[in-house]
Amino acid sequence: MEAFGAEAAFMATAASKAFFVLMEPHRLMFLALGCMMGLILGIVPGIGGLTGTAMLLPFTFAMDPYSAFALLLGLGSTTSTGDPIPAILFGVPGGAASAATVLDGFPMAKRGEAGRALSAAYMSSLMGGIFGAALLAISIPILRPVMLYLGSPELLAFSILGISMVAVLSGSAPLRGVGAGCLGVMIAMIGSDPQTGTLRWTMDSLYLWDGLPLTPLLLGIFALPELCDLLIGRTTISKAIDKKNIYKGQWQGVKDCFDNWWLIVRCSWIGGGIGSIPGISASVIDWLAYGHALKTEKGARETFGKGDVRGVIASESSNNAKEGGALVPTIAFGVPGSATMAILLGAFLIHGLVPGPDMLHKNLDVTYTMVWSVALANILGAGLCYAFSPQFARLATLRYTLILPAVLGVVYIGAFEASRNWGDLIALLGFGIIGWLMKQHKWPRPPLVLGLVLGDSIERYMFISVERYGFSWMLRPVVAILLIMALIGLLRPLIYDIRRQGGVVRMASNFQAPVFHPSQIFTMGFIVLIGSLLVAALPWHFSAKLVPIVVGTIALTVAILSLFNEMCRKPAVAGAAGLSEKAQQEVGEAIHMDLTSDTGHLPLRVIATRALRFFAYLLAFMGTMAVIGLIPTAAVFVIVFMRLEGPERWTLVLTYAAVLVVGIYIAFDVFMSIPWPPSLLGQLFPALKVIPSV
Amino acid sequence: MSIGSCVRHLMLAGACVLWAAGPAAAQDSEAFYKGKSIQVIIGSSAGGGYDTYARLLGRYLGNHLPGNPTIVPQNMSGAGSNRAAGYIYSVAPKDGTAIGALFPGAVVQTLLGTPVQHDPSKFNYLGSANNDVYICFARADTGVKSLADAAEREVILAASSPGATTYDMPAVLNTVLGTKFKIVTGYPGSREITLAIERGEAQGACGIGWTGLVNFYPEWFAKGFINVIAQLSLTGHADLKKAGVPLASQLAKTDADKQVMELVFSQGIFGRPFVLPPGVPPERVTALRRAFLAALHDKSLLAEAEKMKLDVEPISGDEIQAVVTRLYATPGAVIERARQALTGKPQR
Repeated sequence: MEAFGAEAAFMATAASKAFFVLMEPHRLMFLALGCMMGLILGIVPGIGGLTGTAMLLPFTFAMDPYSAFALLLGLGSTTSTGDPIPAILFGVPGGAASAATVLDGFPMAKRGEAGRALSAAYMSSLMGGIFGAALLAISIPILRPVMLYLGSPELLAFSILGISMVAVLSGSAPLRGVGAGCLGVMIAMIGSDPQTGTLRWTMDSLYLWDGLPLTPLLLGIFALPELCDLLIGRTTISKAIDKKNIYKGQWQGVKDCFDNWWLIVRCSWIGGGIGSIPGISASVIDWLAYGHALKTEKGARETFGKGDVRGVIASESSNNAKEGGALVPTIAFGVPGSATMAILLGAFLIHGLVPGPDMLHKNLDVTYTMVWSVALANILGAGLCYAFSPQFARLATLRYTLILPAVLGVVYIGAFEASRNWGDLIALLGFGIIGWLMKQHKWPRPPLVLGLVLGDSIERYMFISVERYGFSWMLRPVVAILLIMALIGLLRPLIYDIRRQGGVVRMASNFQAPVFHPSQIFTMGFIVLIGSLLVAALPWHFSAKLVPIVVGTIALTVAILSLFNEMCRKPAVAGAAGLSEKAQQEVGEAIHMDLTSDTGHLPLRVIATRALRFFAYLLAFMGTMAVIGLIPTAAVFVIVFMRLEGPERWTLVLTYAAVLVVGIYIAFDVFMSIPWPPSLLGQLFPALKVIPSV
Repeated sequence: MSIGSCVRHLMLAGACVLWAAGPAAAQDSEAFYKGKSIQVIIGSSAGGGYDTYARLLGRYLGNHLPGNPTIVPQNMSGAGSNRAAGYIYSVAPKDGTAIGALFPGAVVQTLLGTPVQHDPSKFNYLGSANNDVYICFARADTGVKSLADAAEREVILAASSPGATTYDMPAVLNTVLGTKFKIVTGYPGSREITLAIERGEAQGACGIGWTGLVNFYPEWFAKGFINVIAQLSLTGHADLKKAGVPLASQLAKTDADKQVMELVFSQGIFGRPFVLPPGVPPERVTALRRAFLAALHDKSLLAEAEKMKLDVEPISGDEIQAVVTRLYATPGAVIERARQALTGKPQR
């Protein structure tokens, strides 16, 4: 007891010393500077804190360690505060960890509640960030033993528990959800495999060697479908809102957070906990928290996905807590918990700090400055967001011809930033089409992301666990508990679903002779896709194909069952015209765990032609880019789009194009110095290369 | 005329040529580089070790080049830096304004891994920022102190994936020396590997750089937590030689075995290779090579590296070029044996 008291006193001293050190005005200034940059980087879709941190690093060499960490952590902690802004306003996730925010935030904006959603997002970010930091602060003494206890089998079990959320996130379409989840796992398998070095599904391209990068995929699956529907609907995102409503909404958002403080605590601990596990990407944190909220919150099954503020709160409080969590393995073992942390590790070394036991004893005050930096950065970040929020909220009321060019341009470059390759743009377009079709046909998209992010770590840790421990890995106590939890999580929705439909017998009697409908073409396409992936996998080395074949077979089975279901299940109501209405019928009245298309009122023909038009714009964008380079293309695109779709006034169009192009030039050419792919024009007339990106 | 005096004459002539070419090359470069920028294409993502080295060099290289061009580091990760290598080989300008910073694996890719479009032996090598000595080590509680012990008993090694030194090097030892290393792959990087060893999930590793390990885990050596059982290098590290750690290649029974090991271990010589595209004018290659060495001997760079615990031991471009040429001239049978050791598959 005495030892415990002494330990606590030592920690308290270090924590208070660290606080006063950080309160020095110049350190606060660096922290604020980092926050500003983090917010800006967070708002721009596709660009996280990684590039920013890498570029800031050399500037921190001359600082004292406290200021250096204040600057770097200020940046790292606030990117996810800025992330929800485009997610809520345009349905475009600003970063990988705020994709779940789109699900409820965007419908809120559509209802005219953008102000409330944004405010709830900031406030839950703030509270989540602080709870995450607090969790870190109090768990410091047990960090190393806990981390040493968590081996690959435990990480595997965590990943399996994570993927069992597919059951919850599939909503009323369990077969489709499992199918989408399996497809996600298979996409994660693309690239050189870690066991045998077999190149899986790389189609002989170097681009796919390391697997598909996440950003273009997420932007394709979540951002492009919303933008496409915006063009199809030809409206504004939200109805006009007056200034008074915005302030009222803001206040409501703050109140929502305090009403749901217990949810925030839980989600931030999920965020902090998962964030501290190296190797599990931060991009699933929001989904796990969202799934948790969906399972535990009262009435969530009826309202989530339709603009329930608790969905926004769950997602945003978890992703801001992750930075505090990611500090854990970095500080305690020098194993970076995230890519940003890998760069932070560089800062550690230059200031003569070696991660490990010393950071928890001798240099505990430095560790606590980091904790304080994360906490303060969250407060500052949210404060800055509040200051600009009314302006942001009104963006959602703009005409689609004003919103689409800028957002699409930035989505393009954001995707391109992932690996700076043509492949990124092709992936963006391809997954944009898949995402849009999934949305139209009511295939839930969240399971796909879950499979994609966790598939890789499940395969990796499964091979390590089995190779190292045989099958006894499952008997380790923590593993066993986690696996049982996963099993319950998987079975409960299934049992619930069977009961709801009146038991197995009634479900089985509810079938008729097969009826074909055009909407089934998507399911058929899915079956063909999985089938051809499976065939391509057959000649691989046994351990390279084991997981892909098992997962692929499951996907194939559920897809066939789903097709059978679509063809043979007796419809509840007869005679619906729109694609999405037909789909809604198929999944029954229960909640559909994804955004629903609000283009249902339009005839199928109009939807199809306008969607084609949207994707034709994208193709034209890429074609023009190949000829004249990306930055001039952005200008051409803005002009052509606004004149053809609007038409907007020439003066407005030209100013818009100029501002956008200069912004892109400064951000991407000057600041980030992206190596542009060579353009045809630049190759024919090398003198023109003075124009950026040609 | 004796051979000796002939050589001396030739050297003198060579020196004259160099003396004459030196200022001319500098003038050409000065005029060329003035106001220009050089892009350094880094074949890894931001924040990793290779990125850190390349950015460090980038901050000083410009000062040591005539005309003081601006250096712009750009990340292009992918395919174990084979993407960046391909870009430097065929897309980047061939006038000395593009430099590639690659993984050493990309240099031997065509020899040992899946064949790629470009030919790494045709690059103009600028040099390497350090020369790492890879080692094999095992936890002391395994009781394994030498490769001979490892041939008696199974040791569980943590490794990344085929193609990485942590897999390739022990795989070769298993084939050639008959060690019983059980190589468990799947750990993303060296930090994850050392953590697995610390928590007892793995018992050791082969193919991790000595300098990094000793800098990061001084307490492992102070407390005798691990035994270093072999150096996987052609020359070895002075400290390790003093400690009596043998070179693995000395234990080879035949010359052919030795060659196989040297082929795989040679990656250590060019720990952080920097390359120029084929076809860059020779005088500019010379100017860049000179600036490369000068920058890496720059006192402020060394001070910065010291703080970051980066090991800077520059190897000249000529030296690396010679090593790569020699590697690519390795007899087919040796390459075949090495490939079989690594992948169990013959060359396609």
